[in-house]
Amino acid sequence: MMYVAVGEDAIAVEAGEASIRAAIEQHFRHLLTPGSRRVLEELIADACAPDTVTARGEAPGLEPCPEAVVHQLEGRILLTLIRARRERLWLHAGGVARAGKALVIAAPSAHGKSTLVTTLVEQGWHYLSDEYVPLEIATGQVIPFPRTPWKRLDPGRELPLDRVLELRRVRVPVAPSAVARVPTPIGALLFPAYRHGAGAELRAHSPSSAALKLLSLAIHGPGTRPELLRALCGLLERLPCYELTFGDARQAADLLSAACAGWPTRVDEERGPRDGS
Amino acid sequence: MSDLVEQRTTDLYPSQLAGVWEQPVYDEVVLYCQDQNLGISLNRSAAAVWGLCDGSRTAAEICRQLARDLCGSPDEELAELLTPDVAQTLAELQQLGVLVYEAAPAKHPGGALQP
Repeated sequence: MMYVAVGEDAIAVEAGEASIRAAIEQHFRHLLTPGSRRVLEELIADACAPDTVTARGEAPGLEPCPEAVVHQLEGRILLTLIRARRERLWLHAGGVARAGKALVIAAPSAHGKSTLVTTLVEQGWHYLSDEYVPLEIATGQVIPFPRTPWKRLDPGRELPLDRVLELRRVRVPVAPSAVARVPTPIGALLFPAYRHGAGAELRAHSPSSAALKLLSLAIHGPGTRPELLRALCGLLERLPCYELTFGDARQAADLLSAACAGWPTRVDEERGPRDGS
Repeated sequence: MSDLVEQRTTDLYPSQLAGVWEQPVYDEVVLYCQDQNLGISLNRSAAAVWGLCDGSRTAAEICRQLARDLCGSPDEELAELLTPDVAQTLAELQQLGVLVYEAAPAKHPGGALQP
């Protein structure tokens, strides 16, 4: 039995097939815990489509297909965690941490989120997540969800979004020492946009527009939409927000590292982000 | 477009649509219209215009009030300068469906809801 844990919550996963077990271990490497904590659900990951992952007691499916199993398993795990912690905001976002604060990188798929996260981790930031960020809105704490990140291979040219989504992805290993293990207060919010060939440019982002973007990127949030919006606005009142355009991840990471060197406040943001060049 | 709107609406009173949620954030405002599932972000200038759309002022009176707020005293010249931007903001808000024009000033000026 394997236990995928986020904080105190765990999902027990049984996988009989060796290849599936290996794929789960690889994908959830930094989330696996040896013992059980508060086990929310027990899942069997044994087969490929149509029902790859079943809760204990349901009928199993067909031949094993590791990647599809892991994908479905992740979906089931997320659903279980969301149901167990309804007070949390779950964002489609990546996160990295440094000096006790988190940079949340919020964007839909294929906007350079994972590329940016993995590059920042290479530069010494700690890894929180590349795809899902659970956030305690009231306290502003980012809960780590350090699944093994994936990034798309650079095609070397500009592509329309649907083609970008089809690009092959590769796993990016993260050393255990580079993983953030504890909830981290959010220090800044970033909305990235990858543009092939563009120079890295960091600008202050409108807080009202940021609130709506976060709403659109919310996988789940507490309360009704207006209540969630109010909570997001409360969070944004004290949080610097930036938008980043970049074509080279290393250049962008350098700029971000410089901008977040002293973890700017909302007042600093008014004066504009620090020039990292 | 803004000239045409200005001619049509000169004697009318812009009013926030009932049921639109409003939440200030820093010096901006977020609007949310639940019926349309529509969110609108207003920068500082647009938020100032929106805040004066309580059905008690015409567009011209909104311009004069904004000029007063900026200068601390009446300033017709500034009000005149603000007119095109105010007209554009009002037109956009109306187009988005969160602003209506009333024929008469509101007896009890209302405001948007807060969540």
